[in-house]
Amino acid sequence: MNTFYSICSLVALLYCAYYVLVDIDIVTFGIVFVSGFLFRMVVHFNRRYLYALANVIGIVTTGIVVFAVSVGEGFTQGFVLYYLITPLMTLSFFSTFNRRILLATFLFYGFLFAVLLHAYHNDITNEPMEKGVTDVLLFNFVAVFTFIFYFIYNFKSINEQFFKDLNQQRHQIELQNKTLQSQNETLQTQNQKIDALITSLNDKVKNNMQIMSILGEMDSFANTNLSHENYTKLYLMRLKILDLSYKMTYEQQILPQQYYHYFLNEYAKEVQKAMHAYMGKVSITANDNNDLDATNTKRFDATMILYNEIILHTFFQLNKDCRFSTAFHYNCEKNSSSHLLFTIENLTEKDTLHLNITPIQSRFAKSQGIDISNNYENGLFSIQFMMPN
Amino acid sequence: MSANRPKILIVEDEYLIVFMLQMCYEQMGFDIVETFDCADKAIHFVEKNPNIDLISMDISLASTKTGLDAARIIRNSGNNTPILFISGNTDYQKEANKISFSSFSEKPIGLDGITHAVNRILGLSLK
Repeated sequence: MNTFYSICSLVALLYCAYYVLVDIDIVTFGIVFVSGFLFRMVVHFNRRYLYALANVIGIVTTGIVVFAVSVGEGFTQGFVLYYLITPLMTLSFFSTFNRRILLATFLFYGFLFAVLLHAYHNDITNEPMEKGVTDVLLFNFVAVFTFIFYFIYNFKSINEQFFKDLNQQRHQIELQNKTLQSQNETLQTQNQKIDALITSLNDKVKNNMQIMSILGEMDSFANTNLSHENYTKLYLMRLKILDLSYKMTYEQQILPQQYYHYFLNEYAKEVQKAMHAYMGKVSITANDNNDLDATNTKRFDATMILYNEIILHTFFQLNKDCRFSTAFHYNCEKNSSSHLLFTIENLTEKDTLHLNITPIQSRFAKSQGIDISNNYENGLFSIQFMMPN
Repeated sequence: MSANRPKILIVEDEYLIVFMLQMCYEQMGFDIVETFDCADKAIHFVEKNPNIDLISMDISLASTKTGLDAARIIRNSGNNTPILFISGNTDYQKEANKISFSSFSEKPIGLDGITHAVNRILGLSLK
């Protein structure tokens, strides 16, 4: 179709160029040049699917060219040019279905335009009408009205065809809609099933946690042994961590920061109490402002589990051998390069080795891209968690 | 079963939790009047036995009616027995809070948590 537009433009351009070559006139040349450019724009916009814009430019350009040639070169030439261009324009710009009606319309308006132009030409220039023009006008008039009556007569069949096509398209759209509705219903059903399954799983998980929680507590009532009680408390705390992690991962809850602080404080208290029985003085501090960022759930989730691992690990070691009287200071801070640092001060290398406080490379930590390393230097044992940026 | 001890009805579909709640409430001094795993039976029971002091209710039950549905029906019948909802699904919390003389506790809840919740709900109902 683009080739067709180009040919139309070229024909129009050549036709105008002919007049320019015959009678060189700068104004005419300018008009031809601008018109040629505008016709090329029609091709350009059509290629970019801007049909409405292309049509408007094409129609306006045709009018300008015809008007210019009519004024510059005489009415007959303009009129002939119009007859050459109009059908091509009509065929080019509009759909096959409408082209006959539009062709008739164009011809009709062309006829009126030509008459007006002729009248204008006569008024302005007072030139006599050129020979043969009256016959052409009469032919045009007869042709146009013949066309119009023919199309009015055939309009019914055209209309029927139009509605037939329209109904066919509507039928196809309805079929597509039905298919889409069916697919949508299937998806909704599947989603409902998945939702029900997730809700059911959630209930099961929570119920099992509930059972484990109460079992742990009942067990602590049955066993009054201090060590056993501590184990039970730690077990319950671990259960709370599981619950917290579950909330964050499955329920996708962003819990208030105070919740974490409360939880961590409770956790710290429990460990302190447990350790106090063996060591006398324990302090566990966390730099809340930097570390406990509840908005970054992934990082915090990792932090919680790492907290759990390190403290639990230490606790078990302490329970295994309770000869220590060292005051431990757990410090947690995050430096500018996103490193989470746990340090245990006042610890001899022997203690470190004996405590066997080694970081646990958990699967979770690995999956989160967290690298864990430990270091002992000048009485300071540190475990560094390289958090992903 | 002592006549002076407060009566509690447990509605829960997980029998292990029922067992544990029974022990917990008995330790707290309650008489377990009945346990049900579905809402309809509980509603029917409360209609016939309105003088219960507390209902411990799960929300997701082994019936089409949820614990929330049961609570609404009980309230609509004019019964204001305090209801302690214990559920793992926090989505229900907002709806549960709309029911008068009720409290919502999330699973897992410890024995201390249950005691605290019971005291709170009973205190609320006394007010």
